Amino acid sequence: MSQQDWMLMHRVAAGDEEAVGELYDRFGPLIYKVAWQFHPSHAEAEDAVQEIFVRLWKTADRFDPRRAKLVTWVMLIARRHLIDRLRRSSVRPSLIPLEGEPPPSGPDPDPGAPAQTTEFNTRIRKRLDELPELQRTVIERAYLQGYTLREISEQLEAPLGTIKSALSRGLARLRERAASDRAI
Amino acid sequence: MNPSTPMTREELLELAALDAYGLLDEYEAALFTRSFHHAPVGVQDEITRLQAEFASEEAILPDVEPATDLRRRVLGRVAAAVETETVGLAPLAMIGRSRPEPASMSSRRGLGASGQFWRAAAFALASAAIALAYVWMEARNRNELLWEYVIDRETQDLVHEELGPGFYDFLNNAACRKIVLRPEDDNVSMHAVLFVDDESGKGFLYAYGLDGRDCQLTAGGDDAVAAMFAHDFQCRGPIKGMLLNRITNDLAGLTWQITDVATGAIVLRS
Repeated sequence: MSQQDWMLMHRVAAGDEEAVGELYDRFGPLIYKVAWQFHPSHAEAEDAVQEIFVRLWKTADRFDPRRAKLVTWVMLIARRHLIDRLRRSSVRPSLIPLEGEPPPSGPDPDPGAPAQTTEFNTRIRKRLDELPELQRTVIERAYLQGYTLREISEQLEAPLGTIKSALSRGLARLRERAASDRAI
Repeated sequence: MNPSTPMTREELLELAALDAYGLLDEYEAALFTRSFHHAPVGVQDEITRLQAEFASEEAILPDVEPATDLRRRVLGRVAAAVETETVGLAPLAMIGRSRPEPASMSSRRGLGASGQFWRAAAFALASAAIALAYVWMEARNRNELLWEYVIDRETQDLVHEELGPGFYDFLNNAACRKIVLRPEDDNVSMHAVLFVDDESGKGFLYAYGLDGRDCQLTAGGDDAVAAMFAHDFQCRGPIKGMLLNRITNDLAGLTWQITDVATGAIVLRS
């Protein structure tokens, strides 16, 4: 598969429309979910997805199948782009109010998808609430709001190593929890 | 974690998710990558599998689906970007296809002296040929004859004159790593490729479009970390080539960048 993925990305780098279509079919929906997480509005998320695919085309020749699987690489490019976009707009998504913080001040979710927003918040809140407080806070800030680990370390006045460990363990627990939910 | 020694399997596993999500700073990401390459194949497989699982994990993603016509719009947006870049490169594609135009036509286009025009065109052709040869070399592994097919003798001489003989050695060395540096500003026409021979610790930088600048090539992590490699150089023409020493294994995975010394602006970055 990695050889096929490498060939696919070389075709994408060459601007092959069919290859870009194949890349979209494999990862477009997943990228859209992540984009919506950062920009909870259909218009913003769709615009971000289009930008991400342009970025994937520009960087396709950097894909190294020995270093990562294609999904890892694609989602890394997507997340980096979304974090850059977020920092440029200087508005962080506040889907979930943090401990001791005022209610969300970010952009309102798409009025066309209130049910999805509520369901999403409820599901995420439930999963995050099961984590120890530090892990939950660090995941919210790093994974959902795009803060760097150094920024979080300063915000929480905690050593960088502690922040990294909390984030790593929190993500692992979320993944384990999701796997057990799927098994039920 | 000692920055001079590779991470252990346990450290790699602990940071695998953070690396997959792009949450490590540049220096740590570089150390992670370097440690990954030092790790046994079994550990590398373990890490890549784990990272793929994290990357595709939908447990904390919303249950939303894109509109059905988003695929068409994505393809259109990429096609437009490709078209824009193709238009920008059109003058290069035309070089060599047609006979030189009369001087009167050149002057109508405001290109100045025809000698300057053709010298600039020759530089552009040499640059395009270098890029083309590089891609072909990558694709076909090592095949010395390709170089002969791709570039005629005259252009080879020009490349030799501008870059020196060392360039061929690196271009033809299949074991070399190639690090591409791209412009920070998408609207400027410049690029660079750093060839690194890990075995000898030597490198070769080929750069295009930095004319008239005093530059500094550096390798390092994020802004808070001092550069682990720095080399100053001057660009008198459109093409610059130079041999580099002491490209040690410690630099693998770091971010390379070229800074315009006069303005302090980063112009190219890996």
